[in-house]
Order: sequence, then C-alpha cells, then structure tokens
Amino acid sequence: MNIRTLRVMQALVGLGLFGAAGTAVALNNLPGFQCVPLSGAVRPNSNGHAENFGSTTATVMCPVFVDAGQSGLASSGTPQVFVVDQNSADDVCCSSRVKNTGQSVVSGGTSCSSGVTSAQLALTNPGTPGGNFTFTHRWLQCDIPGVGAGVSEIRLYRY
Amino acid sequence: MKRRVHLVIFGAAIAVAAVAAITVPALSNTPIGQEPSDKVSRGATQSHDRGTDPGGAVLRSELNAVQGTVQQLARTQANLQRELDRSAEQRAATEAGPAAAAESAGVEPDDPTAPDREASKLASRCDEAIIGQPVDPEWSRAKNERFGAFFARPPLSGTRLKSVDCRTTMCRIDLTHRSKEDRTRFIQSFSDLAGPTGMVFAHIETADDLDIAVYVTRDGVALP
Repeated sequence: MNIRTLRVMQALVGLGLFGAAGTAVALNNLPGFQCVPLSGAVRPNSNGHAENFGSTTATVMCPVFVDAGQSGLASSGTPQVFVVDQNSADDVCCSSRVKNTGQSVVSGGTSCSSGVTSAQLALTNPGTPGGNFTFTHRWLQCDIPGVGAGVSEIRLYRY
Repeated sequence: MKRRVHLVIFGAAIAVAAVAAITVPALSNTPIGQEPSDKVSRGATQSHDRGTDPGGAVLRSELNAVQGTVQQLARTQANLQRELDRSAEQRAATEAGPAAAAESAGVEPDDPTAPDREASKLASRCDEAIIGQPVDPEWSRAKNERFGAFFARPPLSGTRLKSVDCRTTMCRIDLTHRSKEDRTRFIQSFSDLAGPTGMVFAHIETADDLDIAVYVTRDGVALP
C-alpha cells in the first residue's frame, strides 16, 4: 500500500466521520420496562411494558442513552412516550429532563393523556436543552395513575 | 514548540552545509548549463585521480574539515534533541499529574465544578433575556394563575412563592423551601409550570440551597 493510497483512505475516513457528525441522530425505540419507579407500585409485564398495579399514582424515570461525545447537543429532539391511560381521574403525564451532576435541573413542559381508553396514546414532549458537559444525562419522567378501568402503563418510549 | 522549530532550522542548516560541502568544490570548474548529475559524477571521478591533480589534495582536506564540522554539528543536534525530548516528557508528566492519576484510576478528569458554573451561566442568560423584555399582560396573567394553582397543591406546602416576574417569553419565579425534602418534591413536579412545549429551568446553586430561582419559558420558546 503506497502513500497515495493511504492518503486517499485517510480522506475517505475523514469524509465518513464528517458525514456521520452532520447526520441527525436516529430515534430509538425503548421498551417501557426500562423505566424504573421513583415512587409507587410499578412492575414490568410480559409485553415489555411498565404498568402501575397500585391504587395511587406512580412516578417512573425512563433512561435515555447519551453519547458522551454528543452530550453538548443544543436540544434533545422531540421524544415520544406511548402510553395507556385507564384512569378516569388522573392522566399519564410525562416530561423530558436533562441534568448535569450539579444541582440544577432543566425540564420540558409536561405532556398528558386525556380521557380513559385501553388504546395506545402518544405523548410528545418538547426537547430540552443540554449542557456542554461530559456528565449531562437525560431521562423521561412520567406519572402513571393507579388502576382504574384497567392498568395504566408505559408501553414504549422513543428518543 | 519554539525550540523545536529552532532545531528543525538548525538541522536544515546542517543538511545544506553538508550538500554544499560535497557539491561546491565539484562545481567550481563546471560550465554553465551542464547537468548537475554530471557535475557530481565528475567530482567523484576526479577524486580517483588524486595523484595527478595538485589542487585536489587541498580541496580534499577542505572537504574533510567541512565534513568533520558537519558531523560535530549533527552530534550536537542529536544531543540537543534528546535533551529537548527529555524535558518535554518531564514537563508533560508534571502538568498531567492529576489527569494521569485519574486515568489510571479509571476516572474522568473533568472539572467537578463545571456543572454548577454552567448552570450559573444559563441563569445569567435567562436574567438577561427577561430584563430586555416588555410585559405581555395577557400571558403574564395566565401564567400567574397557573403558578398559583400549582403552588396550591398540598405536596408543595413546604414551598413558598416569593416573587413572580413574567414578561413576553419567560417568567422568573423566586422560591424558598422549608427543607431539602420540600425542594425535592417541588422538582419532582416542576415541569408542570410550563405548557406542553415550554421549558423550565430550576437554578439550584448548592446542595443546601433552599432559595432558588426558576425560569419558565412560553410554549415553543427554548431557554437562551
């Protein structure tokens, strides 16, 4: 392999990296059972969802993968949470959160379901700004109402 | 860096001197326009005729002297380079002491104070954005009503609203908490302060800070 070949390969690799950096980050589907309870009676079910089997509202935190090299993104995009709300009094409500290892927290506004249905609903949360830190981490935080006409659950989330 | 450049220049000078030492004597009797390769080979040919050229001995001795000087310079350069490399290594080891120690311990050498510092900068940007804005009375009234309902929630009884300042696209809320647990309860639900496409930033300066500032943006508006 001569020097010219090496230089051509180097240029191609450089272009590839540049292209990758300029491409939008693809969304990922994550199963609801990845969400862990902050409070309340939440468990995974055999469908891969996270359901509230208790009588009161539970809060879960759903982790989001953050590439440390990309943690300085200006925005997290627009995450979505696919839920089922079977409680007539309370709704499934989610927000997108970002935090560094300091004390301060940034959150998107809360997006809630409405009504009662066993059908799947999509909640769309606004992106939250990030910090230019190695330690920036993100998650979705959701309140799942207690059992009503049936169990309410987080089926999956997309980020 | 500067020393390294000097050494490169020094090395280049040695190379030029060496080439000059070899080629200049051979070129001295060459007619203009003749190919350099011929010149060099001719000089080499001449060196085999040492018995027939009386000036050759003088040139040879000059060449030997120059070559000796060049070799001496090359040795000096090599010594200087070694010394430079050694001092650079020592300097790097001194400067990267904590980083190297962190790396060997498998820990990121990031500044632990950076997050709080960056949060303060974000808070400053928010304050600057608010100061320059006029008040949108309708939106300000709507937000105040929303905040009132939010802080009336029983779990937030340990959180007291000190002041609210809403302008056109952002509000600043100053709060005080009775305890850290009250502050935690507030943070757990504070995203409700914004509309579905707004944002909220709670600036908490220290772990024990009970007086905090919260910035809420209008729907569709990002934090600055």
